[in-house]
Formats: sequence, C-alpha cells, structure tokens
Amino acid sequence: MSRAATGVAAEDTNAQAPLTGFARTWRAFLQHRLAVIAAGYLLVLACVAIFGQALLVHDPLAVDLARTFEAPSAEHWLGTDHLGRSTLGRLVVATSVAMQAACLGVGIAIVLGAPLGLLSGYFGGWWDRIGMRLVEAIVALPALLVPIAILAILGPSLTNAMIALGIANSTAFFRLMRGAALEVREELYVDAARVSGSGNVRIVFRHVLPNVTGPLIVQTTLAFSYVLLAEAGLSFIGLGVQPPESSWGVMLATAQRYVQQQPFLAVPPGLMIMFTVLAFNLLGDGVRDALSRAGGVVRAASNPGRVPGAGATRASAAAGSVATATVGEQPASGPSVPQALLSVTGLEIRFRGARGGELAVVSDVSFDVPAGRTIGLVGESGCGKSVTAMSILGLLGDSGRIAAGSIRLAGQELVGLPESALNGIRGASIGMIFQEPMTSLNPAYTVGNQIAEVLVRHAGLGRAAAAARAVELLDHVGIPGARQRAACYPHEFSGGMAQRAMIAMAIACEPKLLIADEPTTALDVTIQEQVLDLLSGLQEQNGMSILLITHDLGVVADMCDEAVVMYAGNVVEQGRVDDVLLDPRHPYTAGLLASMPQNLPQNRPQSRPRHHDRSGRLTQIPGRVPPAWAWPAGCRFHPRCPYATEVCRQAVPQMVAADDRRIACVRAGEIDPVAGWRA
Amino acid sequence: MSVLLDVADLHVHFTLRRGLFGQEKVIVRAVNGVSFMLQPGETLGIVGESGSGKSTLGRALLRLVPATSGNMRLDGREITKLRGRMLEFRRDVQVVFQDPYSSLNPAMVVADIIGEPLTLHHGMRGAARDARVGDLLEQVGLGRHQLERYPSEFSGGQRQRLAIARALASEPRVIVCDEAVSALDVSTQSQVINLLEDLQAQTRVAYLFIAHDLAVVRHISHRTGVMYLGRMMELGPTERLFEAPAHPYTRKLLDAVPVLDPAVQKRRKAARRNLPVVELPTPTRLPAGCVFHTRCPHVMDVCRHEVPEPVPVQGGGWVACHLQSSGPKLAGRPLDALG
Repeated sequence: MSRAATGVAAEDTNAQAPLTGFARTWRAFLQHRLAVIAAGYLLVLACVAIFGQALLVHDPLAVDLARTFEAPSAEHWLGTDHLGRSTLGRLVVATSVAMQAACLGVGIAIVLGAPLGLLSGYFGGWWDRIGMRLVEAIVALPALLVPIAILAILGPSLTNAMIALGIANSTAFFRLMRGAALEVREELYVDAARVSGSGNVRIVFRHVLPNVTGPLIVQTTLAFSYVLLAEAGLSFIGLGVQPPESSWGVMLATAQRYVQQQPFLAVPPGLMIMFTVLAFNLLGDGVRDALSRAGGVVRAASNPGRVPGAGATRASAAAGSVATATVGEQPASGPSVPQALLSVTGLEIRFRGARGGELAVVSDVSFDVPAGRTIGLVGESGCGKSVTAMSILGLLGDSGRIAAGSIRLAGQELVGLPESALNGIRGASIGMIFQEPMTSLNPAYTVGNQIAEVLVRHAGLGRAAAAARAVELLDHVGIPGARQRAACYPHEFSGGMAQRAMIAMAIACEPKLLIADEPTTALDVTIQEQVLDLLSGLQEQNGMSILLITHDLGVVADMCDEAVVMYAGNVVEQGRVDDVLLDPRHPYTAGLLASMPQNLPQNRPQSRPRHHDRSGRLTQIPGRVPPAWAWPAGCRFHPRCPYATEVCRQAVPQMVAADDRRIACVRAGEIDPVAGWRA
Repeated sequence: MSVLLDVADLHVHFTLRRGLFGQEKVIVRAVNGVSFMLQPGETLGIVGESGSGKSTLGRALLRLVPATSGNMRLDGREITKLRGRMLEFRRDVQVVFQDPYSSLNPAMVVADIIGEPLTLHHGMRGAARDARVGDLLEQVGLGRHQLERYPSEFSGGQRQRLAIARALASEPRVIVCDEAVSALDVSTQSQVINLLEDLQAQTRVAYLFIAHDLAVVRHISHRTGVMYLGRMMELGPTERLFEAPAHPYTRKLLDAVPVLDPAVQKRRKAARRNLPVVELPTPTRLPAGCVFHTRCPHVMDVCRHEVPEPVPVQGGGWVACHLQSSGPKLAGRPLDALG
C-alpha cells in the first residue's frame, strides 16, 4: 500500500490551485466583454420592469388631449402619443409586460419541452418515436402560423399568445434535450453509474441533467429573444396585448398609424426591441463561448504539447496542394551537401499558452535521419515527439512556432520557408502517415480518388494516368482486389486496410522521407505486424528514410536503426537501437524499459535483458511527465529519478557523446542506470 | 477450490437492421458460446483482437447488455435473469473502464463520484460517507483531501485511480477491468498494474482482466483465455499458454508482439515475411466450422465444416482445435509438438 501511495506523491505537487468548473466558466464569461455589457443591460431592464412603475411621475394611462404628439421635453422625456400619454411611462409599462410575457412563454417552453425531450432521448424506443413525429409535425409548419392558429381558437390575449408561443417553442427545447440526452446516455460514466446500482431516476437527475444544463442555458437566452420578437409581432397585428394596455408591439402599431403626425413615436419601442433582442443573443453567445472555452482550458492545461486542430490541418495538408517547388534539386547554399537526409539542430518550439505568454514545449533537440535508415523518436505523451514531427512539416498551427534551430532536408533549410513552398514539400518530398487512418482520409471521396488527387497535384499526372497509378499503388501496399477497392469509400475499409491506403497515398510521389506518427497504435498486434513489414519492405525497395514516432519500444525494436529518447521536451539519450534498448545509459530510458511488462519467458532468466526484473512487481517511475508549464529547473527528470543529487537539481545536463551514444545526464558514467530502479 | 463466478455457454447476439425500412435483419454473434469459471482472488485475462467479443463478454457479465442464452452464476446464484436495479448483484460485480476521461462524470466532484455507491449500497451520507471516500482515496494512492475536486483536475493515471476507488467502494467480489490500463502511458501503466495487484492481495477480489496487450495480461493474470470472433479458442494457466500455446491463433497473437531485444526481433521479423494479406472475417459473416480456419496455417478439411470441441491440454487448461483430434492428433500436446 505504501508503495502505491508514494507512487503518486510527486504527481500531486503538480496540481494547480483548484478551480471549480463554475468558477472557470465564470472567468471565461467575464472575458467576453460584449456579453458582460449585454448581461448588465438586461439586469437594468429587469429592474425597470419590476420597480419602474413605482417611480413614474406621469400615470401611463392618464389621457391629456391638450398635449398630444409632443416631442421629447423636460417634462415628458420621450414625448407623448396621440392621446397625450407619456411615452416614457408607456415604455416602462411595456417593458414590464414584455418581460413577464417572455418569462411566461419561455417558462412554458422549457417546462413542456425539456423534461419530455430528456426522457425521450434517455429511454428511446416508442415514446421517442411518437414524440419526434409530433415535434416534426409542429416544426414543419411556419413558425408564426402555430401561435396564430392557437390564438384563433383561444381568442386574442397576451396570456393566450404566450401559451401559444410556449407550445411552439417547446419543440426547440425538446430536440435540444433529446439530442443531449442521447449523447450523454452513451457515456461510460452512465454505464459506471448503472454498475454502481443507480436506477434510471437517479441517473437522469444526477448524471445526465447536470451535463446538459450548459446548452439549456444558451437555448433559453435565444428563446427569450425569439419570444420577445414574436410577442411584439403578435401585439403589432392585434393578436397579443390589447389597447389601452401597453406593449412594445402595441406602441409600434400606434406609431405606424400616426407616423405623419409624430415620426419619433416609433423610435423608443423600436430601439427597445432591437437592443433587448441583441442583448439576449450576445448573452447566449457569451455563455456558449464560456462553456466551450472553460472546457478547452482544462484540456490545454492537461495536455500542453497537443496542437489544437492538428487533425484537420494534418488531413488537409496530407492531401497536399498545388506543387510550386521541387526540393532537393536546388544547390545547398553554404555548407556542402550533408550525409544525413534530414538534419535537425538546436530545435526550439514555442506555443502560446492558454493564459497568455509563450511556453517552450521542445528545446535544444538535435538528430539526423540518414538516407535509407529508420530513426525512432520515443517517449511518453507530453514529451514533445509529435510536435517535433509536426514542426518538420511546418504544421504547428496558429499558436505554435519554431523559435530557434534549423531543419534541413537534403541540404535545404525548411525553417522560415513560405507556406506555398512547404505545400510543395509536404506529400511530395516528405510523406506522412498518422495514428488514425480513418480521420486522415476524407470520407466524401473514394480512396482511389484521394490517391489520384495527390498524383495530379504533385506529380503532374493526367486524370486517367493518376487513377491507374492509384490502383497500382494500392496493389503495391498489399490491398487485395485493388481495382475494386480503389472505388470504395474509407468507411468500407478496416483499420488495417485504411492504414495501408494511407501508406499508398504517402508514398505516391516517392518521398525521400516518410514521417510516421504512431502508425500502428490504433491497430491490433497482428495487423501492426503486417503494417510494419509493409513499411520495411517499401524502404528496402525505394530506399526512403523513415522517422517513426512511437511510445511502443517493441515497435522501435522491430523497425528502427537508431532510437532518440525524449523526455519533457528534451532529447535525453540517443544511439543505435541495440545499445539503447539492451544497455540503456540514461535513468529515464532504463526506468521506462523496466516498467514495461514483457512478453518474455519467466523461467528462462538468462534470455532476458539485464534491466528486466521479473520478481512479480513492475518497476515504477514515480509521478508522471509534468506539463510544460511545470518543468523543474536543472535536469527535468530529477524529481522522478532515483539517482538525483543536488547537482541534478541545479545543472541543466548537456548532451555528451561517448562511443556512438549521446546521453544528457550529469551523472552519466558514475552511476549504473539499471540497478537503482530495483531498490 | 471454490467457484465465485461460473459462466456456461454464454451467447450475446445483436440484431442490426439494414435497408431503408429496416427490413433486412443481420445477426451479429458478438459472444458465441463462451464458458469459464473464476475463483476468489484470481485474475483471468481475456485477450483477442478487436471484434473478438471480449468487451461484450465483460458488458454481459456486468448486465449492461442482455445475454441471448446461457447461464451466469455468482456464488451459485443465477444472475442472468435478474431484473430491476439488482442492488445485491451490483454490489458484488464492479467495473473499471478503459477511458478514464469519459468514465467519470465531469459535472460531479470526487466525493459524489466515489460516494455514490456508498450511499446506494451502505446508506452512508454526510461526514461518514466523506470519511470513507477519504479512506478509499488513500487506498488507491491519492491524498484524502481532494473530495471537492472535479475529475478534470486530475491526470489520466490519477483518474484511473479514482475509477478504481469507485469500483472498490461497494466492496465487490469481482471487478471487470475492460482495457483498464490501455490508455495510460508506460510509466503510469506500471503504477496502476501494481496498485491492482496490491488491492487483490488485500481484498481477495477477482479480476476479469480484458486487454489487447498480451504483455500486460501475461504479467497480471493467473489464467488467460484467448477469444476470436466471439469464441473462446483456448484457456489455461498463463505461463503454460504463453510458453506452450496449443492453438494456432494463440501462437499467431504471441508471435505478433514485438520483443524488446532488437536482434531477436529482427530474426522473428525475417521469419514472418511474405505471409499473404487476407481480409479478416467480421462478426456479421462468421466462417463455417472453426472460425479461425480462414487464417490458420494448419487448416484441414474438417476445420471448414465442424466446430471443434474443447480438449484438455497437458500442463493445464483446454483448447478448441481439430489438430488435437484429427490430422496430427496432438491429443492434448501443445502446438510445438508439430515440429
């Protein structure tokens, strides 16, 4: 027990000052200035509606035929109407009426629509089908026709108008809550609650409802603006509030009738309607943004290295665009052509943080990828390996940039190249494959089409030639029945076949370098084996280099010639793959290897590498990879390292080369990096 | 040895409706006649590729999907046909899911997430409940003063500890671990595996450990079952199964896991090259006879027509393969005996 407890002691220190979900949302909302102003305006309006009439000097119903159609004056701030009544007074009364009416209408809509939608979505089945058909029938009619029909039956009055609007509007709440409930119903935590013994009532109220309140609030603000407009419209045509009662719609109707005598009459109610509806809409936008942003902050904070929206950028970039440059043909300026195909030196990548400021997520990373070799970039998530790969492709998104260092492909500097030049390199000189082949393929086009598209753009082939070549490529990557499969859409492919198709697309233009980011992580072991064999086979045939990003050291052992181990944005160890995996010199590499359960025989200890202790318990590296904003001073691994001394807490370790190996550890040479993990 | 859980000939079938009006019915045999037993304090690993039905097996055991036929008994009590909230059963059988992000309600604080089963099963509320939640948090290696925090304030590994604490709260006899460590990074994964082993030593809880990672299953399981397309192909003591597999599918799975020694791995890689690529069958269109015959290197005529019956294997466990009774007649010897 005590061991398990010590395991996370270090983790806890990383936690920030706790911020509840509500506080986070509130903070995000306050940043939305327009929404805050709108909320303030609506608050003032509510006060006017409640207390305004008590403060009025002039009775809004008092007729004074001597003073009709007056312009604004010191006594009547907004003038008077055709009966000499104070426009200000009538406006205050109208505001109160509008607010009450809107509350009534929206209230009915929520009470009627939300619970039914929630139950319909959660339970599904026959009730859901009947409910949905009913809703569809109502929605199929023009929006104002339903209230007008209901009013024709019930007779014109404000209350009837609001009941009618409430019923018409309840469909929006029904559909919203049904959709949300359908989504939440599939969440694992609902299954977990059921396994805990929760009944349906408890699940609906405790687990589903709190997770749909956000969209509910947004929909409510929008419903307010709709009901206000509809109330004004119905009163304007005489179906809502009846004169002499006041309402924005009635006031507008009056203004229309006497527009010749006093055009100003239309201005106060018109502005009121406009501002109020606008305010509700802005408030809705603000709440929506705050809810999504609060969620976003959480994700960004727990996962600093992730590139926002990278999936989309990757996919679109992988599809390639107009080739404007050919790479490699240009003579290298400056130094002579280097041996390495790809040479990364002193790379530093910075991202704009969620709370402003810039954060280096990768620093001082250097490695070479020689022609025809496979280099493995290894590490746990949050170590910066994917970001490094993305930076080679120039795909850091809007918030990231290369702050220092150089990336040379066959002698050509890629850092600082314009987007158009990078477009010509991506998909042509550098091919890419990613973890999720399904999300990288466009579901709207056939697989053959997508491969042909790359060939048309980058290799300048004609349509027919490109289509024929696409079939050849699919056949080449081992897809059975390539001609038929080329006409299939991505969803008709299994995961393994889709990854083969991605590989076909990546090698279509015979790239010199293939970047593979966790290419087999989503696949079963038997399929992983086939995909790795395919990559090795292609490499033997066309001599391309592969930069393989993976967390799986077994895949590294299978594929790679060299391994580059990253931790917290730095390279900690690199060397030939046999050396790194069998005789790790950096404590992190050794700890990582020792903490992996291995598929090796228990009763033949001599066949196992020295670092693998099979006494029953797995070696634990305490804590976890810290997020980029919490990287410690000195060696970034020192809080988790059993060898850490005072030196490690202060000195930043430099990369030191020794017999084909490069290690960044202050204590390298004086420690046995394997033995310490056994203690 | 006492039997805690006894599953006999379990079938879980789903009906898909296709076509414009759902007129075309397709039956998916996700779990197709699976039998096994589980003892107190034991870990039974279930391995297989995606589509093998291993997760559906876990969900059927948790009564999250209904069994089509067959029997499940917990301590001799029939649990296949229980109805309603099944509180007693819910107390005994708990779950830890794969995804620590979606398995914890983002709108609830830790005290409520872990406290829910305490309220439901033990009627605990208020300070007594919070004290017990604190104990559970300490038991899984988290500090006890985190009751008012939301799941989003914890890392993936910490969240999985929270999910384990919730599963422990009702003091269950069986925990279904459905890919419980698959989403975690290597260093966090080893922490959680050690925690699960420690908790088993303390409480004698039994695990049904469903995972696709064979190395993890080998480490944690006492016995291991291999599933393929809804059927259990082989089941036996973990060391026997990994050292001397009796089913060609088990062998295929084991060979596909890369080992960490590059020299050894290069030799294995050279040996497996140039195998033909075959489209895999799906649970909607199961092959006749032995479901593995389309991929089996030792396929015989009988395999295409007859479903093999389980045969005991030397060294423990059983295997369902025609090689045991037809052709080379292995008669309980492992596959290596073929030479």
